[in-house]
Amino acid sequence: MTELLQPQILGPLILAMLFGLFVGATPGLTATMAVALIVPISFELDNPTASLAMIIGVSFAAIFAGDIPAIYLRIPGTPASAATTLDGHAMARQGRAGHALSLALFSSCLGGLVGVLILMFLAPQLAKFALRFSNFEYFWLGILGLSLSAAVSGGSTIKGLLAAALGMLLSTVGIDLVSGTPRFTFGQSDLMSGVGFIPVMIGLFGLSEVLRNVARGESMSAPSVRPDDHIRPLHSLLTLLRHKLTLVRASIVGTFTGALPGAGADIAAWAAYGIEKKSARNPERLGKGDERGVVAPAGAHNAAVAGAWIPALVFGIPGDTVTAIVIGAVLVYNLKPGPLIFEQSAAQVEAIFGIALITQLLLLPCGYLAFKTFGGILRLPRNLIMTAVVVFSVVGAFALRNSLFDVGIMVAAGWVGYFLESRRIPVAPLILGLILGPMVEENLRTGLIKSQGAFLPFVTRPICLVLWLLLVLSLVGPRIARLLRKAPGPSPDTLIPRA
Amino acid sequence: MIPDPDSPPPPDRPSLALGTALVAFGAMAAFLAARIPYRPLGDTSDPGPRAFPLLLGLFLAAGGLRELIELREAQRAAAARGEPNPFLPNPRSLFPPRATLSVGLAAILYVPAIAWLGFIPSTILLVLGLMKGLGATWRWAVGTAITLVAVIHLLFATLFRVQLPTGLLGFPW
Repeated sequence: MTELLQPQILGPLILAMLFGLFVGATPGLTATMAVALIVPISFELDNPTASLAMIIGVSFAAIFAGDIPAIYLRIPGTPASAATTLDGHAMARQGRAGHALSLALFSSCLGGLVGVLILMFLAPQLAKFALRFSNFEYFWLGILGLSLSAAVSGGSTIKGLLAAALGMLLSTVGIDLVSGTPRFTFGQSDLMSGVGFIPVMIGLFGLSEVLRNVARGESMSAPSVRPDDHIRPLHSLLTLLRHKLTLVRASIVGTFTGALPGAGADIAAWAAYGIEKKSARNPERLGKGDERGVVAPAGAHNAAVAGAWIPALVFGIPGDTVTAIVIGAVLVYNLKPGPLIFEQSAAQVEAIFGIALITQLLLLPCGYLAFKTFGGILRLPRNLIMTAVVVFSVVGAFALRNSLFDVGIMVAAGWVGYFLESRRIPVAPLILGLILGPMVEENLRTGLIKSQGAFLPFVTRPICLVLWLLLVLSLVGPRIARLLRKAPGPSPDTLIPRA
Repeated sequence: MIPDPDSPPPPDRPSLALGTALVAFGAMAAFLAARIPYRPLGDTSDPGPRAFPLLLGLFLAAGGLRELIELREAQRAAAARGEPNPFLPNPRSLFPPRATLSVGLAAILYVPAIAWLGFIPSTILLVLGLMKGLGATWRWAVGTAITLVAVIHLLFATLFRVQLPTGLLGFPW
């Protein structure tokens, strides 16, 4: 742990957190984009632990920072903060913006802390169980991760599955690792090693986000956020003590929701808010500036960031788009996610846990610093922010391999992302497809070779059977739930709106 | 602003552009995948390198076909109700708004520009173009261009020693 407290680790970590706070607090820019933009910068550091620290720090900080404009302007900085807008903004209208911000910050720190502790305890236990998995189980695990992400990413499940298929198809470009045959390379040497994951991701979450923002036609000269400085940390801490049960409940819900592949911090925040409303003695107060309406989603969304690391580390299945990017990034450092990671790369895993813990503690001072100092920066007009994102996207895509071809890939991915989202096809399953495609194909083919071409072991092995049934449930479950909800005439309180 | 949670979600209307794009892209991918040489590893238990992309291409084409069938059914239902066709292809809806198109085209043009002119002049031109296109004053545009180029140069070229493109013209940047 003391190694992690060295300036060469803490320096990049704090800088990355401040960057994450800025991006997360800017409406229209997501936490995923913050991570996507920090990855090329982190690769330039000589120390892999410092690089990991930057990626971890930026993800937690950006998710929290989305609450800042959510509270001030009822515009969530990131989708994860949509639930915070309800009571957070109501508190701001009552002149309690500083208190709401402070509550959100403390809840995010403590929620993240609970999430990291659960991750530290649960992940190694789960890894011992995962050692029983073979190619057959990993094939279904990959498919299950993709289908879950398609089912919960918003909109139609079929469209989510189409996005996942598109991602998997992109992952087949390049030399086939099993047979050495080139696929879809069109004689281009740049395509032999496949479509670069990082340029695609920067395009999908950086450039396409800018294109969508511009397409909305909102004023680009207006500043993003109106700041407010009335913050009393002690008062907020005492309030949080009163709502400790809410925080604990939200953190646990957030961690386990985040651990579901595809269900990110946004769903975790809405789930925690919904549970809080259902379990409250006076649910009518929520939505009208109740402190619990800030504590629950803020605690849950940062706990979900930690929870998403559980399937990512144990199975190599990203819990959300942020961990999808993280998996792509850690592969560069020869850190191969899977059950053996806890034995083969124990030191790096401990470093990840340690950095995640330190990040929660640093979030408090960094968050307060952000409240105080970002006021001026957040007054910057949106056109400046959007232009900076375009330039950073281009330079970020180029810097990885000094390749203009990668810049072209990034620009193409930006346009594809814009087209897909404007037709209500979610892009998150696409990025998961790109990551999980090789895993699914390799395990399918190796499994078939092992079983001498028989498909039966894919469905008859006990763990396969469970995973297969979970897959069916993930695809049919939402439809059944919708039918059940329609039948008796639902109460609006029981509906959990999507971010 | 976030949508009102009580309001119904916007309708998920079938799209001609999406259906056509998926059918075309999926069919092309399946066609190209079918032409990948069949080289299984060891015995014939391995489906080979073409099976997986072929399957995915067909799945995408089927998804596009489903979108087009849904569109046709919606058109028929509208016609049966005597309503005007709500799904007539609108050429304007096929193209993004002008501002979006400008930003996207600027990003596309930036790729050959950076290769030809090098990083500093092409980035200054891009930032000036984007800022003006997004309604900024000349003062803001010039200030942003200088600041951004300086920050990126300092961060990537000086600090991380990334060789930013110097361009074919061989200018000293």
